[in-house]
Amino acid sequence: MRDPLWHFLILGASVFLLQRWWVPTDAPRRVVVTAGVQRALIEEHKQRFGAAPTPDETHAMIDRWIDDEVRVREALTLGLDRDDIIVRRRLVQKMDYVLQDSVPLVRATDAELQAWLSAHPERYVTAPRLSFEHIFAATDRHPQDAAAQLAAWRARAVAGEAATTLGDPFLRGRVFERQSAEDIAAVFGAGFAAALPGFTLGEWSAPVQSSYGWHTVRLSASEPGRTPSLADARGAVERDWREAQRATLDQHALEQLRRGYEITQEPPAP
Amino acid sequence: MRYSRGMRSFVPLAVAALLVPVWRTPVRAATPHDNLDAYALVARSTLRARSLRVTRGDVGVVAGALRSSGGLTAPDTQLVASQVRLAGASTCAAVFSDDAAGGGTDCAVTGAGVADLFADLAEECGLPSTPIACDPSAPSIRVTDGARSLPPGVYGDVSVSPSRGVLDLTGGSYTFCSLRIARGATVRVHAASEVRVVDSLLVNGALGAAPGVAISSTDLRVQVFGSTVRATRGAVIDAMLCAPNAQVSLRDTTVAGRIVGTRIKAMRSTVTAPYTEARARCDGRNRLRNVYFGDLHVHTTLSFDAYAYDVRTTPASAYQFALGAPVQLPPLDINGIGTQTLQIDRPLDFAAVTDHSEFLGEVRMCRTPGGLNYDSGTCTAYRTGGNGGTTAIAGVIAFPNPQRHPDICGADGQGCYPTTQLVWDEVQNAAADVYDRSAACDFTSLVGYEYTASKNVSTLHRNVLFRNDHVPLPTTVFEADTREELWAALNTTCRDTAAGCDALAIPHNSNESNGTMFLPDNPFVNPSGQRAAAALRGSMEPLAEIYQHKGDSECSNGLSGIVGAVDEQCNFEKRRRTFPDCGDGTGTLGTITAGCVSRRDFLRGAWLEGMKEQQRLGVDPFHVGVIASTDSHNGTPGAVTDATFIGHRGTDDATPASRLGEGDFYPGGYRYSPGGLAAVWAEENSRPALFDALRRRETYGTSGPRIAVRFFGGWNLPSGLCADPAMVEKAYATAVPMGSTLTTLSGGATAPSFLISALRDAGTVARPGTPLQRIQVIKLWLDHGVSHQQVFDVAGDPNNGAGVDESTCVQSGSGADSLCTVWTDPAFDASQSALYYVRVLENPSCRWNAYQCNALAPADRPPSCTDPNVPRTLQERAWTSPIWFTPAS
Repeated sequence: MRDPLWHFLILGASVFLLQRWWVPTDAPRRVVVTAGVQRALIEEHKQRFGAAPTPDETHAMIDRWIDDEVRVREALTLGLDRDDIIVRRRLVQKMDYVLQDSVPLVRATDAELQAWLSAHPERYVTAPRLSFEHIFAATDRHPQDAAAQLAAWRARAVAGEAATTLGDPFLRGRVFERQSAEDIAAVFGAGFAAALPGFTLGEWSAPVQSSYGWHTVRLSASEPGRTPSLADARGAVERDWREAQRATLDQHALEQLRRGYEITQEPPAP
Repeated sequence: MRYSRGMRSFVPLAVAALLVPVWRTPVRAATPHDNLDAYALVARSTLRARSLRVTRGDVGVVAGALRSSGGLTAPDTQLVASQVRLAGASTCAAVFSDDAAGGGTDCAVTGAGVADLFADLAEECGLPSTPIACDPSAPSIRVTDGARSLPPGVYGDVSVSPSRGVLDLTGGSYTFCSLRIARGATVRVHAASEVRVVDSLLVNGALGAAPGVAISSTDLRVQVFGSTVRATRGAVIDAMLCAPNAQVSLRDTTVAGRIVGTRIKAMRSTVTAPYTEARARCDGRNRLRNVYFGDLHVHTTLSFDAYAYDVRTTPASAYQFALGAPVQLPPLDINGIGTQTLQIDRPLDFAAVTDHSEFLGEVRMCRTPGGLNYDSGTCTAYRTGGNGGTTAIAGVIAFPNPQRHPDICGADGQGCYPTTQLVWDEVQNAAADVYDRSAACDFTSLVGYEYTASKNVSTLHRNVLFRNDHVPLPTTVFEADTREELWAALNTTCRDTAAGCDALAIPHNSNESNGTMFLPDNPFVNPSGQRAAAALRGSMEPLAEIYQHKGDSECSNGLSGIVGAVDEQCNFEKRRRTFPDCGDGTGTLGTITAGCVSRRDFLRGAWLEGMKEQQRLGVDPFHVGVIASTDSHNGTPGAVTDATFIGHRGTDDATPASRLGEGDFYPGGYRYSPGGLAAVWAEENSRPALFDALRRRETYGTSGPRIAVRFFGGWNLPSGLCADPAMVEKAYATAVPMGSTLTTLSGGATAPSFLISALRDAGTVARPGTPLQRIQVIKLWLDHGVSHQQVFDVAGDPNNGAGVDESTCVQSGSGADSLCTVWTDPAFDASQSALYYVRVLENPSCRWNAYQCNALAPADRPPSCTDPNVPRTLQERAWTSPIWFTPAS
């Protein structure tokens, strides 16, 4: 991160936090019930009970707050917060919020998104797609001679007979438009899907077997896979960019913080 | 404070009023739309307008001119035509044309025109490709005064005249030689209908839904094959009108719907498309419909229970899972990341994330450190997680008159709405991001939620699904304590608004409802209004979930009230095997598998009850079709494979021991299963096409495998259909698909016949699909008020010898790749109400628990691995929506 504003914010946040948490133990022991604390207590009461507290209730709340504050201070002095997994996790969590709030994600520019798309085309590339019709001979209906039956139908189709009048009905349809290999495999099985790209456009193919029987296929269009334009993939690109950006920012923030520490690791206990 | 009874009825309305302004405006790219769902008016060659107002939907001319001689008011409408000539002041959102003039600044040219906007307009708007002829022997209908009710069928010329004549169409498929509605006369439909007019259509009165019938104008499709459509003098048309061969003239006419014609002339008229959808036309559009597989019941980390069991899958990652990406599932590691990975081997075509609407905001507030009321008692208890946490937050919904937790939402319960809105935005954004609006149409998301009414701890849950992006804030039991209040809220916040919103509700787990999910109104208490209530329910709830991870809701043996032989296939995935019978009554505590069980807890009983209500009220409130889904609480739509099942709800069943055990809080464990899939026959994989299919019930459910099933009913279907390459085309032309109703006998038939065809799941290379064993038809009927059932094996072979070795899960024997038959009811009585649905059974295979028992060392296997009463094999299956026969009264 080269942006000076970022440096400033991170350092500022760090200084602020360090100051708040590392209160020297010999500081004068004062408890100030600030106007802000009082306001928060009253607000909370309103939220919870739907009405402002009476003067007595306010007094009691402030009293309780002071008791809590004194105990928290004493606990900190005794170091009770250290080695407490719950306190530790809560502080880590809060720090993450602080770091994320200090560097809100800005909206990506088109140039940034375009750069991201160009750097990771494999994530957005669309599958090749095929459009085709087929004539089907069901193994169930012709247990002995489905392949021969298909060959006969294919010959009639090649001779110019309408495909709509040939073959057994195939429940999932006769004409398929713009199907990816995955789509085709889901309907016909993987072997059938693998064979299709090899066929010649506009011609009835050699017989090909599916999970259900024999088919001849006529491709009407074959579309290669391609990297979409930014306009087509904007949603996904923006989501991934944001995710990556967040991760980078978080990582950088951590590195920045670490830089303020001299870190040594003792050899593991024997 | 507690609300008084009187005030409570006010609450849904007040909340509704608050929520109405919360529409999300869809992102409208300035590109012309090439799908018909975006349009209000489409002409093939010319469209002339004067004083035309279009309040929603685009206006297009396929090849020709759009001319307005003044007064075009269409502020949200895009105009698309080769030539556009606008005289006088005009408003519109955009003009797409290569040759445009006039319009001024409020209706300026935005971009180039679209060559060949709709290549085949007739096919696009659903006109059958085979022309139909007028049947000279069919009776002509002439209504001169008073009302006349007409069942579906083929008729000659139909005219309603003069004033005050009313023709009531009961609903279904009608063919008329011509239709003439005189001034002041009315033709009104009482259920979804398709009206085919061979010749001309003249409307000077009103054509639309009957008052009080909650169907929308998309439910009335009028197809005109002739050359003239004329509407004048204050005519009102609430319908989708497709007349691609006709000159259409609208004068002083109000249309709520869509008009398609060759030439359209519109003067002093208003047109409002009911819904619009900005998306590309799908390349794979097929008017004979494709089957799409999906999951309409999925929970994520936003659901109170899922989060409490450490599920962290977001709606966005749940949708990615449906597309084939892996998710991480509990138990969580020290960083809060799931330690188990799950992935499906085939993507789904569609999915809906349906988190519990109750506590959407509360959960977010309770899990955001430092946020408002994070430290409240309820939040603190909730964060302990598991059963205790779940009960701490959700226990309230089991009691009458539930209120939001005051320590989270404030004393007036209002404090949670802002957070709820934030969370709800995330749900909508996740759905919007993954919805493929391109012509590839690879994936469709539907926005939805689960309404979790649980009065007396009986499951009265419903999934609410929306047609499009126009979505109000979810309704919860806190706004709507009863189902009637839910439907009222869906009307006031969605269907009755001007925003183009539509919703439906799908009840589920009636098997845990102690007879209350499909409980008819008591005929002796306050009978007035029951007919309207039944009609409202029928229009709001077109479907029910027949199967999901908490068991089967098709049928159960051992219950009174239905005459017929024991059906051994009803033992499939039973939540409970021993239980007291509710008889005609109801019970409590079904959600925790206690209390009595009713025949109405299963769809068979509900359907029969609905047929009785049809005879009593003239309306069937339980006219539901069928889907199945997972109800995954792991955010894993479509994770239905038995061999890889790793539980359904986070830490609750994250280990083999917990899954194979008895369960604790809910008796679950080995009784649960992965759940099933929803299958939908639709023209394309888009929101409008899927939603319409759900509405017309052309759907079925499977227990997991992607079995394809067609089911058509009609009269005298030719026995050779199964071998006919044009089988499906002919079936649509002469019969009705699953989810429909047959009424009058026709063509000299004495019994209905059915085309039933099934194709096994191809599976994948690693896990090939299982062959089919047989097809069954289940007939339910009423004989003098007594309920009957009978199961027919109609194709395949129940004794084909196929089996599975429970200890290895190796299958043996052979079955069928496909099965097909044309079957006629051998004992039909045209005076009796009946329905037929289809069950397709695969050869036996291992149930999920067999795989998991086999993976454990024998010494480690829990009792359920050897208990003879626990099934470890099963026959996977598909269940179709029924086809009803309702005798003409």
